[in-house]
Amino acid sequence: MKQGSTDDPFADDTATDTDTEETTVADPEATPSQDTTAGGTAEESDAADSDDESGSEPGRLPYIYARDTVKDGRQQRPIFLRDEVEDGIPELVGELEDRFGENVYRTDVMEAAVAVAQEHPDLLEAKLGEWGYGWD
Amino acid sequence: MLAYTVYSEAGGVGKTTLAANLAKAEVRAGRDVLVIDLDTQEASLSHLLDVADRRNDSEADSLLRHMIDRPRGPFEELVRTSEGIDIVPAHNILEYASKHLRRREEEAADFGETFNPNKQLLRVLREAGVHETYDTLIVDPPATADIKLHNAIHTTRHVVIPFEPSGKGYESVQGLDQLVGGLEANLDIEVGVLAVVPNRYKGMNDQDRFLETLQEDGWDIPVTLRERSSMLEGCWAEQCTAYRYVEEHRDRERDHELETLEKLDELAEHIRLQTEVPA
Repeated sequence: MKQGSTDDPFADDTATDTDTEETTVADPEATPSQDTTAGGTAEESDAADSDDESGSEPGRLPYIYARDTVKDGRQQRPIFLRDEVEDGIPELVGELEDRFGENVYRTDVMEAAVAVAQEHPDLLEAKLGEWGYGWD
Repeated sequence: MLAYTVYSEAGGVGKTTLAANLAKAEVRAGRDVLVIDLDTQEASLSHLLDVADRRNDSEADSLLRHMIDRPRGPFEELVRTSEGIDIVPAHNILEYASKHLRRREEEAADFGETFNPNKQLLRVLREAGVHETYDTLIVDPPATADIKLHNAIHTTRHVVIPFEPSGKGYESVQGLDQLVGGLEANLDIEVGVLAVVPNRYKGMNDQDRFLETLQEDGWDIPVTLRERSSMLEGCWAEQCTAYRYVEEHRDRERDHELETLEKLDELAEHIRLQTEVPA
Protein backbone atom coordinates (compact mmCIF):
# COMPACT_ATOMS: atom_id res chain seq x y z
CA MET A 1 0.00 0.00 0.00
CA LYS A 2 1.46 3.31 -1.03
CA GLN A 3 0.35 6.91 -1.05
CA GLY A 4 -1.08 8.06 -4.36
CA SER A 5 -2.23 6.68 -7.67
CA THR A 6 -1.52 3.26 -9.19
CA ASP A 7 -2.77 1.07 -12.10
CA ASP A 8 -6.16 1.43 -13.74
CA PRO A 9 -7.55 -2.09 -14.16
CA PHE A 10 -10.25 -0.72 -16.48
CA ALA A 11 -7.72 0.70 -18.94
CA ASP A 12 -8.38 -0.47 -22.50
CA ASP A 13 -4.96 -1.99 -22.89
CA THR A 14 -5.40 -5.51 -21.58
CA ALA A 15 -1.71 -5.60 -20.69
CA THR A 16 -2.40 -3.52 -17.59
CA ASP A 17 -4.60 -6.27 -16.20
CA THR A 18 -2.27 -9.12 -16.86
CA ASP A 19 -2.30 -10.75 -13.48
CA THR A 20 -0.80 -14.16 -13.59
CA GLU A 21 -3.31 -16.95 -13.40
CA GLU A 22 -3.51 -18.50 -9.99
CA THR A 23 -3.83 -21.98 -11.44
CA THR A 24 -1.00 -24.43 -11.30
CA VAL A 25 0.95 -23.63 -14.40
CA ALA A 26 4.53 -24.68 -14.78
CA ASP A 27 7.18 -21.99 -15.00
CA PRO A 28 7.23 -21.05 -18.69
CA GLU A 29 11.01 -20.53 -18.49
CA ALA A 30 11.39 -24.18 -17.64
CA THR A 31 9.52 -25.36 -20.72
CA PRO A 32 11.94 -26.82 -23.27
CA SER A 33 10.74 -24.98 -26.35
CA GLN A 34 13.03 -26.70 -28.81
CA ASP A 35 12.15 -30.34 -28.22
CA THR A 36 9.13 -30.27 -30.52
CA THR A 37 11.47 -30.94 -33.43
CA ALA A 38 12.66 -34.18 -31.89
CA GLY A 39 9.73 -36.51 -32.37
CA GLY A 40 7.02 -34.41 -33.94
CA THR A 41 5.80 -34.45 -37.50
CA ALA A 42 6.65 -31.60 -39.80
CA GLU A 43 3.30 -29.88 -39.25
CA GLU A 44 3.64 -29.83 -35.51
CA SER A 45 7.11 -28.33 -35.41
CA ASP A 46 5.99 -25.58 -37.79
CA ALA A 47 3.15 -24.87 -35.42
CA ALA A 48 5.45 -24.58 -32.44
CA ASP A 49 7.69 -22.07 -34.20
CA SER A 50 4.90 -19.69 -35.08
CA ASP A 51 3.28 -19.82 -31.65
CA ASP A 52 5.72 -17.46 -29.98
CA GLU A 53 4.91 -14.26 -31.75
CA SER A 54 2.37 -12.86 -29.29
CA GLY A 55 4.66 -13.61 -26.38
CA SER A 56 7.81 -11.98 -27.70
CA GLU A 57 6.60 -8.38 -27.51
CA PRO A 58 8.35 -6.69 -24.61
CA GLY A 59 6.15 -5.71 -21.67
CA ARG A 60 3.24 -7.90 -22.75
CA LEU A 61 2.37 -11.19 -21.17
CA PRO A 62 1.71 -14.15 -23.45
CA TYR A 63 -1.96 -14.75 -24.12
CA ILE A 64 -2.59 -17.52 -21.57
CA TYR A 65 -1.06 -15.44 -18.78
CA ALA A 66 -2.91 -12.27 -19.70
CA ARG A 67 -6.45 -13.61 -19.59
CA ASP A 68 -8.65 -14.08 -16.54
CA THR A 69 -10.37 -17.24 -17.72
CA VAL A 70 -9.93 -19.56 -20.66
CA LYS A 71 -13.15 -18.30 -22.25
CA ASP A 72 -12.19 -14.61 -22.01
CA GLY A 73 -12.74 -12.89 -25.34
CA ARG A 74 -13.73 -16.12 -27.05
CA GLN A 75 -17.05 -16.92 -28.70
CA GLN A 76 -18.41 -20.42 -28.51
CA ARG A 77 -18.85 -21.82 -32.02
CA PRO A 78 -20.40 -25.11 -33.05
CA ILE A 79 -18.18 -27.03 -35.40
CA PHE A 80 -18.92 -30.19 -37.37
CA LEU A 81 -16.45 -33.01 -36.92
CA ARG A 82 -16.35 -36.64 -37.98
CA ASP A 83 -15.83 -39.12 -35.14
CA GLU A 84 -12.33 -40.14 -36.20
CA VAL A 85 -11.16 -36.52 -36.08
CA GLU A 86 -12.91 -35.74 -32.81
CA ASP A 87 -11.53 -38.92 -31.21
CA GLY A 88 -8.03 -37.73 -32.04
CA ILE A 89 -8.41 -34.48 -30.05
CA PRO A 90 -7.88 -35.85 -26.50
CA GLU A 91 -4.83 -37.69 -27.76
CA LEU A 92 -3.46 -34.49 -29.32
CA VAL A 93 -4.12 -32.52 -26.11
CA GLY A 94 -2.38 -35.26 -24.10
CA GLU A 95 0.57 -35.20 -26.49
CA LEU A 96 0.91 -31.42 -26.09
CA GLU A 97 0.63 -31.68 -22.30
CA ASP A 98 3.47 -34.21 -22.34
CA ARG A 99 5.61 -31.87 -24.39
CA PHE A 100 4.96 -28.79 -22.26
CA GLY A 101 4.90 -30.71 -19.00
CA GLU A 102 1.84 -28.71 -17.92
CA ASN A 103 -1.92 -28.60 -18.24
CA VAL A 104 -3.05 -27.54 -21.72
CA TYR A 105 -6.64 -26.50 -22.39
CA ARG A 106 -8.52 -28.23 -25.17
CA THR A 107 -10.02 -24.81 -26.00
CA ASP A 108 -6.52 -23.44 -26.61
CA VAL A 109 -5.57 -26.44 -28.73
CA MET A 110 -8.64 -26.05 -30.90
CA GLU A 111 -8.06 -22.37 -31.53
CA ALA A 112 -4.35 -22.92 -32.09
CA ALA A 113 -5.24 -25.55 -34.71
CA VAL A 114 -7.26 -22.97 -36.64
CA ALA A 115 -4.56 -20.33 -36.20
CA VAL A 116 -1.89 -22.71 -37.52
CA ALA A 117 -4.09 -23.55 -40.48
CA GLN A 118 -4.49 -19.85 -41.25
CA GLU A 119 -0.72 -19.43 -41.21
CA HIS A 120 -0.09 -22.56 -43.32
CA PRO A 121 -2.70 -22.87 -46.06
CA ASP A 122 -0.39 -25.32 -47.86
CA LEU A 123 -0.96 -27.86 -45.07
CA LEU A 124 -4.69 -27.40 -45.47
CA GLU A 125 -4.40 -27.75 -49.21
CA ALA A 126 -2.75 -31.13 -48.78
CA LYS A 127 -5.35 -32.37 -46.31
CA LEU A 128 -8.26 -31.11 -48.38
CA GLY A 129 -6.61 -32.74 -51.40
CA GLU A 130 -6.70 -36.05 -49.53
CA TRP A 131 -10.37 -35.48 -49.01
CA GLY A 132 -10.96 -35.05 -52.70
CA TYR A 133 -10.64 -31.37 -53.40
CA GLY A 134 -8.83 -30.49 -56.61
CA TRP A 135 -9.80 -33.59 -58.50
CA ASP A 136 -10.21 -32.73 -62.13
CA MET B 1 -12.63 6.41 -14.69
CA LEU B 2 -11.75 7.29 -11.12
CA ALA B 3 -12.27 4.21 -8.92
CA TYR B 4 -11.79 3.67 -5.23
CA THR B 5 -12.90 1.61 -2.26
CA VAL B 6 -13.76 3.37 0.98
CA TYR B 7 -12.40 1.02 3.59
CA SER B 8 -11.48 0.89 7.23
CA GLU B 9 -10.71 -2.11 9.39
CA ALA B 10 -12.37 -0.50 12.38
CA GLY B 11 -16.14 -0.31 12.31
CA GLY B 12 -18.21 2.76 13.11
CA VAL B 13 -15.83 5.31 11.62
CA GLY B 14 -18.36 6.63 9.14
CA LYS B 15 -17.22 4.50 6.19
CA THR B 16 -20.64 4.29 4.61
CA THR B 17 -21.63 7.92 5.19
CA LEU B 18 -18.28 9.02 3.75
CA ALA B 19 -18.78 6.82 0.66
CA ALA B 20 -22.31 8.16 0.10
CA ASN B 21 -21.30 11.80 0.58
CA LEU B 22 -18.22 11.51 -1.64
CA ALA B 23 -20.51 10.02 -4.30
CA LYS B 24 -22.83 13.01 -3.93
CA ALA B 25 -19.88 15.41 -4.09
CA GLU B 26 -18.89 13.79 -7.38
CA VAL B 27 -22.42 14.22 -8.74
CA ARG B 28 -22.31 17.88 -7.66
CA ALA B 29 -19.09 18.23 -9.65
CA GLY B 30 -21.02 17.12 -12.73
CA ARG B 31 -19.71 13.57 -12.90
CA ASP B 32 -21.53 10.29 -13.61
CA VAL B 33 -21.14 8.18 -10.49
CA LEU B 34 -21.73 4.49 -9.76
CA VAL B 35 -21.61 3.15 -6.21
CA ILE B 36 -21.37 -0.59 -5.53
CA ASP B 37 -22.69 -1.57 -2.10
CA LEU B 38 -21.13 -4.84 -0.93
CA ASP B 39 -22.00 -4.38 2.75
CA THR B 40 -24.91 -6.50 3.95
CA GLN B 41 -25.31 -4.74 7.30
CA GLU B 42 -28.74 -3.27 7.88
CA ALA B 43 -27.23 0.21 8.20
CA SER B 44 -25.83 -0.01 4.68
CA LEU B 45 -25.32 2.56 1.96
CA SER B 46 -28.33 1.06 0.17
CA HIS B 47 -30.42 1.81 3.25
CA LEU B 48 -28.96 5.30 3.66
CA LEU B 49 -29.87 6.18 0.08
CA ASP B 50 -33.20 4.33 0.31
CA VAL B 51 -32.66 1.72 -2.39
CA ALA B 52 -32.58 -1.35 -0.13
CA ASP B 53 -36.17 -2.49 -0.64
CA ARG B 54 -35.28 -5.58 -2.69
CA ARG B 55 -32.43 -6.85 -0.54
CA ASN B 56 -34.52 -9.76 0.79
CA ASP B 57 -36.23 -10.64 -2.46
CA SER B 58 -34.91 -14.06 -3.49
CA GLU B 59 -36.51 -13.62 -6.92
CA ALA B 60 -34.53 -10.42 -7.57
CA ASP B 61 -31.41 -10.45 -9.70
CA SER B 62 -28.28 -9.49 -7.77
CA LEU B 63 -24.68 -8.52 -8.34
CA LEU B 64 -23.51 -11.82 -6.85
CA ARG B 65 -25.52 -13.74 -9.44
CA HIS B 66 -23.58 -11.85 -12.13
CA MET B 67 -20.31 -12.59 -10.34
CA ILE B 68 -20.96 -16.35 -10.47
CA ASP B 69 -22.17 -16.30 -14.09
CA ARG B 70 -25.84 -16.77 -13.18
CA PRO B 71 -27.37 -13.40 -14.00
CA ARG B 72 -31.13 -13.11 -14.29
CA GLY B 73 -31.01 -9.98 -16.42
CA PRO B 74 -28.71 -7.28 -17.77
CA PHE B 75 -26.35 -5.45 -15.42
CA GLU B 76 -28.11 -2.13 -16.07
CA GLU B 77 -31.24 -3.46 -14.36
CA LEU B 78 -29.34 -3.89 -11.09
CA VAL B 79 -28.75 -0.16 -10.97
CA ARG B 80 -30.98 2.14 -8.89
CA THR B 81 -30.70 5.91 -8.68
CA SER B 82 -30.93 8.22 -5.67
CA GLU B 83 -29.99 11.90 -5.56
CA GLY B 84 -28.40 11.53 -8.98
CA ILE B 85 -26.14 8.71 -7.76
CA ASP B 86 -26.39 5.35 -9.54
CA ILE B 87 -26.19 2.51 -7.01
CA VAL B 88 -25.98 -1.25 -7.22
CA PRO B 89 -27.64 -2.08 -3.88
CA ALA B 90 -26.50 -4.82 -1.55
CA HIS B 91 -28.59 -7.99 -1.62
CA ASN B 92 -28.69 -10.34 1.39
CA ILE B 93 -27.26 -13.17 -0.74
CA LEU B 94 -23.91 -11.31 -0.54
CA GLU B 95 -23.61 -12.81 2.96
CA TYR B 96 -22.84 -16.06 1.19
CA ALA B 97 -20.57 -14.56 -1.47
CA SER B 98 -17.60 -16.60 -0.37
CA LYS B 99 -19.48 -19.90 -0.48
CA HIS B 100 -20.98 -19.25 -3.91
CA LEU B 101 -17.78 -17.92 -5.45
CA ARG B 102 -15.75 -20.88 -4.13
CA ARG B 103 -18.36 -23.30 -5.37
CA ARG B 104 -18.26 -21.70 -8.80
CA GLU B 105 -14.47 -21.95 -8.73
CA GLU B 106 -14.67 -25.69 -8.00
CA GLU B 107 -17.24 -26.20 -10.70
CA ALA B 108 -15.04 -24.35 -13.20
CA ALA B 109 -12.06 -26.51 -12.21
CA ASP B 110 -14.12 -29.67 -12.86
CA PHE B 111 -14.65 -28.45 -16.41
CA GLY B 112 -11.00 -27.56 -16.89
CA GLU B 113 -11.60 -23.81 -16.68
CA THR B 114 -10.11 -21.19 -14.44
CA PHE B 115 -12.26 -18.93 -12.28
CA ASN B 116 -10.60 -16.54 -9.88
CA PRO B 117 -13.14 -15.73 -7.14
CA ASN B 118 -11.31 -12.49 -6.29
CA LYS B 119 -11.60 -11.02 -9.78
CA GLN B 120 -15.27 -11.43 -10.54
CA LEU B 121 -16.45 -7.93 -9.64
CA LEU B 122 -13.89 -6.47 -12.04
CA ARG B 123 -15.00 -8.93 -14.74
CA VAL B 124 -18.69 -8.07 -14.31
CA LEU B 125 -18.05 -4.31 -14.35
CA ARG B 126 -15.75 -4.49 -17.35
CA GLU B 127 -18.19 -6.63 -19.29
CA ALA B 128 -20.94 -4.15 -18.47
CA GLY B 129 -18.77 -1.31 -19.81
CA VAL B 130 -18.97 0.57 -16.52
CA HIS B 131 -15.68 2.33 -17.25
CA GLU B 132 -17.22 3.76 -20.43
CA THR B 133 -20.46 4.85 -18.77
CA TYR B 134 -19.22 6.40 -15.54
CA ASP B 135 -16.62 8.95 -14.46
CA THR B 136 -16.39 7.69 -10.90
CA LEU B 137 -16.79 4.25 -9.29
CA ILE B 138 -16.97 4.00 -5.50
CA VAL B 139 -17.16 0.64 -3.72
CA ASP B 140 -18.42 0.30 -0.14
CA PRO B 141 -17.25 -3.09 1.14
CA PRO B 142 -18.11 -4.72 4.47
CA ALA B 143 -15.85 -3.84 7.41
CA THR B 144 -14.62 -7.43 7.56
CA ALA B 145 -11.74 -8.51 5.36
CA ASP B 146 -13.41 -11.14 3.20
CA ILE B 147 -13.76 -12.11 -0.44
CA LYS B 148 -15.98 -9.06 -1.09
CA LEU B 149 -13.18 -6.77 0.06
CA HIS B 150 -10.72 -8.67 -2.17
CA ASN B 151 -13.04 -8.11 -5.12
CA ALA B 152 -13.50 -4.44 -4.22
CA ILE B 153 -9.78 -3.74 -3.99
CA HIS B 154 -8.92 -5.80 -7.04
CA THR B 155 -11.47 -3.75 -8.97
CA THR B 156 -10.54 -0.26 -7.81
CA ARG B 157 -6.82 -0.62 -6.87
CA HIS B 158 -7.28 2.54 -4.80
CA VAL B 159 -8.55 3.13 -1.29
CA VAL B 160 -9.81 6.06 0.74
CA ILE B 161 -9.42 5.36 4.45
CA PRO B 162 -11.71 6.95 7.03
CA PHE B 163 -10.32 6.78 10.52
CA GLU B 164 -11.12 8.00 13.97
CA PRO B 165 -8.18 9.98 15.39
CA SER B 166 -7.44 7.90 18.46
CA GLY B 167 -4.94 5.25 19.47
CA LYS B 168 -7.32 2.60 18.24
CA GLY B 169 -7.86 4.48 14.99
CA TYR B 170 -4.14 4.87 14.44
CA GLU B 171 -3.64 1.15 14.94
CA SER B 172 -6.45 0.45 12.50
CA VAL B 173 -4.63 2.39 9.76
CA GLN B 174 -1.44 0.46 10.45
CA GLY B 175 -3.41 -2.78 10.54
CA LEU B 176 -4.92 -1.85 7.18
CA ASP B 177 -1.45 -1.29 5.76
CA GLN B 178 -0.59 -4.87 6.69
CA LEU B 179 -3.87 -6.27 5.43
CA VAL B 180 -3.58 -4.49 2.09
CA GLY B 181 0.06 -5.55 1.86
CA GLY B 182 -1.11 -9.15 2.12
CA LEU B 183 -3.78 -8.56 -0.53
CA GLU B 184 -1.28 -6.96 -2.87
CA ALA B 185 0.96 -10.02 -2.67
CA ASN B 186 -2.02 -12.35 -2.98
CA LEU B 187 -3.62 -10.67 -5.97
CA ASP B 188 -0.35 -9.46 -7.50
CA ILE B 189 -1.49 -5.85 -7.65
CA GLU B 190 -0.39 -2.52 -6.26
CA VAL B 191 -2.83 -0.53 -4.14
CA GLY B 192 -2.73 3.25 -3.91
CA VAL B 193 -4.05 5.31 -0.99
CA LEU B 194 -5.83 8.40 -2.29
CA ALA B 195 -6.58 9.88 1.13
CA VAL B 196 -6.68 9.14 4.82
CA VAL B 197 -9.68 10.95 6.27
CA PRO B 198 -9.88 11.69 9.99
CA ASN B 199 -13.53 11.65 11.00
CA ARG B 200 -15.18 12.85 14.22
CA TYR B 201 -12.29 15.12 14.98
CA LYS B 202 -12.90 17.09 18.17
CA GLY B 203 -9.75 19.18 18.22
CA MET B 204 -8.16 17.41 21.17
CA ASN B 205 -4.39 17.51 21.61
CA ASP B 206 -3.90 13.75 21.50
CA GLN B 207 -5.93 13.62 18.28
CA ASP B 208 -3.56 16.13 16.71
CA ARG B 209 -0.70 13.94 17.78
CA PHE B 210 -2.13 10.93 15.90
CA LEU B 211 -2.71 13.03 12.78
CA GLU B 212 0.88 14.21 12.89
CA THR B 213 2.14 10.66 13.29
CA LEU B 214 0.11 9.51 10.29
CA GLN B 215 1.46 12.34 8.17
CA GLU B 216 4.98 11.45 9.28
CA ASP B 217 4.20 7.90 8.11
CA GLY B 218 3.67 9.42 4.66
CA TRP B 219 -0.12 9.39 4.34
CA ASP B 220 -1.98 12.23 2.69
CA ILE B 221 -4.58 13.84 4.97
CA PRO B 222 -6.24 16.49 2.79
CA VAL B 223 -9.12 17.38 5.14
CA THR B 224 -10.21 16.70 8.70
CA LEU B 225 -13.92 16.11 9.30
CA ARG B 226 -15.16 17.30 12.66
CA GLU B 227 -17.68 15.49 14.77
CA ARG B 228 -21.11 16.21 13.26
CA SER B 229 -23.23 13.66 15.05
CA SER B 230 -26.55 15.44 14.79
CA MET B 231 -26.19 15.98 11.02
CA LEU B 232 -25.15 12.36 10.47
CA GLU B 233 -27.94 11.01 12.61
CA GLY B 234 -30.26 13.18 10.58
CA CYS B 235 -28.94 11.66 7.34
CA TRP B 236 -29.74 8.16 8.59
CA ALA B 237 -33.16 9.20 9.88
CA GLU B 238 -34.13 10.91 6.63
CA GLN B 239 -32.23 8.45 4.40
CA CYS B 240 -30.27 10.97 2.38
CA THR B 241 -26.81 12.45 1.94
CA ALA B 242 -25.57 15.25 4.19
CA TYR B 243 -26.00 17.69 1.30
CA ARG B 244 -29.69 16.95 0.96
CA TYR B 245 -30.17 16.82 4.71
CA VAL B 246 -28.78 20.31 5.22
CA GLU B 247 -30.67 21.66 2.23
CA GLU B 248 -34.07 20.11 2.87
CA HIS B 249 -34.33 19.02 6.47
CA ARG B 250 -32.66 21.81 8.40
CA ASP B 251 -34.87 24.83 9.04
CA ARG B 252 -31.85 27.08 9.12
CA GLU B 253 -28.32 26.81 7.83
CA ARG B 254 -25.68 26.09 10.41
CA ASP B 255 -22.24 27.42 9.46
CA HIS B 256 -20.35 24.48 10.91
CA GLU B 257 -22.43 22.04 8.86
CA LEU B 258 -21.92 24.01 5.66
CA GLU B 259 -18.23 23.95 6.43
CA THR B 260 -18.32 20.14 6.60
CA LEU B 261 -20.08 19.99 3.22
CA GLU B 262 -17.42 22.27 1.74
CA LYS B 263 -14.75 19.96 3.13
CA LEU B 264 -16.42 16.96 1.51
CA ASP B 265 -16.40 18.78 -1.85
CA GLU B 266 -12.77 19.66 -1.28
CA LEU B 267 -11.92 16.06 -0.40
CA ALA B 268 -13.66 14.73 -3.53
CA GLU B 269 -11.73 17.20 -5.66
CA HIS B 270 -8.45 16.34 -3.98
CA ILE B 271 -9.06 12.65 -4.69
CA ARG B 272 -9.79 13.41 -8.36
CA LEU B 273 -6.57 15.38 -8.67
CA GLN B 274 -4.56 12.55 -7.11
CA THR B 275 -5.40 10.20 -9.96
CA GLU B 276 -4.86 12.79 -12.69
CA VAL B 277 -1.24 13.31 -11.74
CA PRO B 278 0.95 10.33 -12.59
CA ALA B 279 2.43 8.79 -9.44
